[in-house]
Amino acid sequence: MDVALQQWFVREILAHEAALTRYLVRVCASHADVLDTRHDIYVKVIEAARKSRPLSPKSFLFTTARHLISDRIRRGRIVSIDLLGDLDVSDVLVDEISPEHSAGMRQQLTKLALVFDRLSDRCREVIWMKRIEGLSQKDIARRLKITEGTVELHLARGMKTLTRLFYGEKTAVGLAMGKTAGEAAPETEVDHGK
Amino acid sequence: MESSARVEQVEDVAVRWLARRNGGRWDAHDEAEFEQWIEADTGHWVAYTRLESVWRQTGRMKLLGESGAAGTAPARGELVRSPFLSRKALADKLSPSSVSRAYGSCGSARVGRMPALAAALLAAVGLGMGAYFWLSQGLVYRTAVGGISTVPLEDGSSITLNTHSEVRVSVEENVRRVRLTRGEAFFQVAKDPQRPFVVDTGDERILVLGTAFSVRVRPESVEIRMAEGAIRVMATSPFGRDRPLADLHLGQIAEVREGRIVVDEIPLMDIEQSLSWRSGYIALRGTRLDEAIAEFNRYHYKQLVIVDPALAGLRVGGNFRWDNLEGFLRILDEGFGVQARQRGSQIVLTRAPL
Repeated sequence: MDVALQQWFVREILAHEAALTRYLVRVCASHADVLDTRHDIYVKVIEAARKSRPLSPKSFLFTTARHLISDRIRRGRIVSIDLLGDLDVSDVLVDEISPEHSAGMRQQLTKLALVFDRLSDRCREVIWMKRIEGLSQKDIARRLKITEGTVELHLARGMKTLTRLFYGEKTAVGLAMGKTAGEAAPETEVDHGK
Repeated sequence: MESSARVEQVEDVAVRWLARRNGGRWDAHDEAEFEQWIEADTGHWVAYTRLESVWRQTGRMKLLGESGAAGTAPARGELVRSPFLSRKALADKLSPSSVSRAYGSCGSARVGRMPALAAALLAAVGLGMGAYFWLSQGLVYRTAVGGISTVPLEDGSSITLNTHSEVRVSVEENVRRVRLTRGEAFFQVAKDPQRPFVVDTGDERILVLGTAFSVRVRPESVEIRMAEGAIRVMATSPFGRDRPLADLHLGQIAEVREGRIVVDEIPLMDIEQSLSWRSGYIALRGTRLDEAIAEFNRYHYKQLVIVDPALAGLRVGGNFRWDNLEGFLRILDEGFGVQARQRGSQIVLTRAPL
């Protein structure tokens, strides 16, 4: 596994996930479509970065997004578009200093603690026992009196939501000062009802 | 209800891998299977890397809520109220700009000498370092205050010692053992799976299989910075059973204190910068003046001192040769109106009168 590429991805690309998501929410038909499109954009970025790292990762990310979206518009896969003009890159380069770049460790921890609290009780317990206490899935199941399969389900759901919230929110500072999440991006839900 | 995203299924599999990789058993066979999965599709790679980046951060919550009873997550709101978060200490402690805070007084008990002259003399005798055989524990290498030196080892590895540091090296048949007894060292380890490379700092043991990293021993803690590859940090116990603390890889820095480890990820550029001492430089970037002088003081008997507390918070930047104290002081004078005055074995910095 290419660790350097992984770090590059986290630092230079995932740092812009909040901005990218806001952009996608405006052009995608559904929440599921936002997630899938975002994933596809990441895949394209990484495939290109494997050959050579783009000099300006952020504009590369949004250019890739724009190409992918106009391609889908042509194929009729994306229906709800406000305006084609919205696909202009300059329009979405909003966060000048990304959270990843600006936040120190304490801020990141604060943010993590805040988004962790927004998970459901079960997800919090399972992630805590697995990650912090290092319990096996079997032990977690026994303690919570649920099946191992259910533990796995909560773990997966918890980690997916936690990751979305972590990259979806802007910075920890606003939250820590008691403000709520602001825009209702699809990422702000606590658990996907299913 | 809308249909769920395709990517969610990939993410479910990725979380299973995360859980497995961080569970109890994980052997070469598992690793091979995992590699196969993650390399099979860039989508797997993306989903896994994204989730793992937050998973890794999640481990740090340990710092915030250890008081709770086992088997229960802390109550909502408890983690955020942790005193850890209200203290600026954590972020400061691990930021690369504060590479050194200690050592302010190192060497002050010795007889003061002209540092530049001392450095020149050391350079003239070659390595500038004492090496001698240390009974049954191999060779001892040490540097004086202001000395930086690289020791090549017989297995192809090398150790670069920063100022006022000491290592004891023994290369044996089935293990390469280095004890860092003082200061800071950068290790460039030759790969040899048959003979693990172990760095011992007393309470922590670092197990390595071919990699490059630095270790610094402080009075209360140990700092590790990764420049390449991966290592495993173990806590040693008096009963001889080592407990793994964490696996570190490229781009991470860690601080071990009383058997607990805090791992942080910083840009590679910052790691490089914090290791610039190897080429004789002190790299400052928006560094507080008190931290900057603590860094210079590691290399000199003559210690810089700030009297005016308002000066301590001044931010300074630039790359300075550690032996070019004069250049540093001149820039402080010209750029910030900070004046330096000799007082005994100290150089006192004050704000110039307006």
